[in-house]
Amino acid sequence: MQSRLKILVFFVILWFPLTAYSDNNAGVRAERFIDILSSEALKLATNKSLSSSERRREIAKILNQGFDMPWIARFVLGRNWRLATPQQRKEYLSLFQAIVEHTYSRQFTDYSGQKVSVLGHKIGKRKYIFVLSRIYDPNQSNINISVNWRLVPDGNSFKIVDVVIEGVSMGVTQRNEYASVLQRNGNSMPALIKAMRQSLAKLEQRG
Amino acid sequence: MRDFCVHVNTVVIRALSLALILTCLSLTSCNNAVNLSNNDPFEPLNRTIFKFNDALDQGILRPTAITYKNSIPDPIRSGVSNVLKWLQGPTIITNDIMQGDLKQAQSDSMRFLMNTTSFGLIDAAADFDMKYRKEDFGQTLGLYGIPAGPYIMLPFLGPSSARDAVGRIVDHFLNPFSHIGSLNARLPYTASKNIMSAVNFRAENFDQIDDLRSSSLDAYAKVRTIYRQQRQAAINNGRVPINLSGKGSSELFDDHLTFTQEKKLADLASPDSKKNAESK
Repeated sequence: MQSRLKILVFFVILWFPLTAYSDNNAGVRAERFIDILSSEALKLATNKSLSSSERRREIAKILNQGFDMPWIARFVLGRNWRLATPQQRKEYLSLFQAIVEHTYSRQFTDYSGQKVSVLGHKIGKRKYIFVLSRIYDPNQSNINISVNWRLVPDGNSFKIVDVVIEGVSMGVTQRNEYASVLQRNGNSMPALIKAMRQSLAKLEQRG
Repeated sequence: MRDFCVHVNTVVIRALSLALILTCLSLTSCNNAVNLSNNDPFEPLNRTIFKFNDALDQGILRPTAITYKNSIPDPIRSGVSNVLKWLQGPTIITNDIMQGDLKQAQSDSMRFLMNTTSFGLIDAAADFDMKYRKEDFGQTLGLYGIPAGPYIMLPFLGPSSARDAVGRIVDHFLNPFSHIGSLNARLPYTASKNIMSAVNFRAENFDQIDDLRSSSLDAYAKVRTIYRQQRQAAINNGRVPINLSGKGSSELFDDHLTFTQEKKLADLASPDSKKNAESK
């Protein structure tokens, strides 16, 4: 009896660090994922020799590698996704992708030496992992922005599904904005697509 | 002086009871999950005020901020920004205490005293890791569990909520700087402080505000959700995961996860549309 108990205790003791380790492992790998992704992005931002269209192509590459863009696009549309026709969905997805690319390529041109430091992670409910990080500027002590990444496992790697900057979720913000456009236009998808096209034209004009 | 204190007390009590009435009213309209607790019953009026504020920004504030940025040297501008933060010191400390965060109150008191040596011009405390962190009565009420209530767009002052608007009034009276000098001197002081804050804020966030304005499909809705989320993050002092009052953003992501799992990706996006989005 006693030896059985010993064996049980042994396995319990063995089991605990193992589970803790495997959980930790996913978190640490997620941290590493953000670390690599952000250094790739910074490399791109410091490369001033790229033309704006080249830069946008590179950004598209990073976005599609690191982010689950179709998932984010559907999240932003919320329940309206179900109401859209296949043709509207197709148009919406490509407009969404283009708007995000243009918005971020603009942010990249404004870059002036800020750095990203990954601080840790939190395992969320369900299958989400949050990676906590900060963007700081070695030359300006008052710039210290909290950036948290919401990731889902994707095979051996991860995909980002949301970025939360100083408590403001990019996904939720865009979702609310699009919901408002739809609501004010009687939930008409063509109206949203038209507004997105206008917004993209403005972004393209700005370069 | 005693009369004045009585007067302040009645104003505070009135403000508090107004807050209670407004939040009670808003609780009934809170359960709107689809709207992600926009809680904006005054939307038409708010949009009109937003347009007015935007015109004011484009006509006066933005040009002033450009001149300010271009003609005033960097060190003076950061001095102005530091003084404006320093003036909030007593409000922040009082709210730290009301929130039960005595450690933060101690650090903010040290910060205030240290920076008082230069009348707030130089933020020496920041170098000793006592960085500026805004706390206000709206956040204190939020921590007490009082919901934000209806969204309110204030003329000149920008986005707010029933709770935060009341918080502003209370903060004004909590701050001893609001009571210094004769009654005649107070109005110009408050007005110039607010104008300087507006110019300083616009200059510090110049590109972001211009970007938001030009790249939005619906700038009003965007400002509304950003304001709501920022306030919630400020109440949580930046802890994650963030939850909006009512339907939390985490639950929102969970819902979507369940939804996509149930329907399967293939069912949602036809394969060619997905390919199209990725190849772009």
